[in-house]
Amino acid sequence: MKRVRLLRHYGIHPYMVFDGGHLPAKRGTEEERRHRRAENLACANELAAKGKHSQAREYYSKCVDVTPEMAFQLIKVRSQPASFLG
Amino acid sequence: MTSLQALRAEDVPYVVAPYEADAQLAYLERLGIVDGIITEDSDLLVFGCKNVYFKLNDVEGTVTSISRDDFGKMTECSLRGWTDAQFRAMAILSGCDYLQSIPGVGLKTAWTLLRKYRTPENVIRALRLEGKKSVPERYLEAFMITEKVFLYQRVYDPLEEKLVNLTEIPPGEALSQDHEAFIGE
Repeated sequence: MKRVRLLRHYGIHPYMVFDGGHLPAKRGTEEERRHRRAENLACANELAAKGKHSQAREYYSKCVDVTPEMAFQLIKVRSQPASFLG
Repeated sequence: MTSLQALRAEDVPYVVAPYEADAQLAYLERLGIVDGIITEDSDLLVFGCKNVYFKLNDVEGTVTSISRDDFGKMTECSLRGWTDAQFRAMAILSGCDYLQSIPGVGLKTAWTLLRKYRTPENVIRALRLEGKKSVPERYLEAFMITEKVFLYQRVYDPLEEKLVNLTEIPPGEALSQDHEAFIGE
């Protein structure tokens, strides 16, 4: 939001665009990412078991998969229909 | 507060792309709804965006502006006279999110090859004949599908409030069901 305010301060009207669903064409990349997330999770669990919580936290944050469903839930909670044109 | 709630609280317009933000951004620029795009993703240029801003630094107050109109002015690796299709082919050949490059082919090699052979079909044929680089089986087919993803990926039209293809599919170019699946259903 800091960036949004900065742009607005200089008279630029930001219009934000977010990623939606997975594109089948990107399957290769998605699989790689899934693999990386699994590795990070294993690493995080190992560190947590050793009591190294702050380090584990770093790895845990790297294994979070923001799914299209999460984005969809966020849209559903909006109080009024958002204007796409602003 | 989630980021979307924060945007709503401050009346910032936004859209969640049906698939990828890249294609959606390209479409918004094409419709004239946005004048430029702030991003860290060079794929935006491959999607045909005209004014892209990279590395926005809000501490230093700097940004790197890349305009398609300036492509012809580059002294090294000149793109003077290159069509959008050739630029896209160069990007795909050198490896992108949807298709890995032929091992040993980077941006510079892709540029050199396209300069010499003009079309991706010719480039791939020449590489196979030359035999120095191992071109994966069915590479040309994969290349063609990738090109369609850059051209026709499904995006949201906020004016018509419906899903459309980033570029209208020309009547003569029917997509197979396989291709339809790749660009998003």
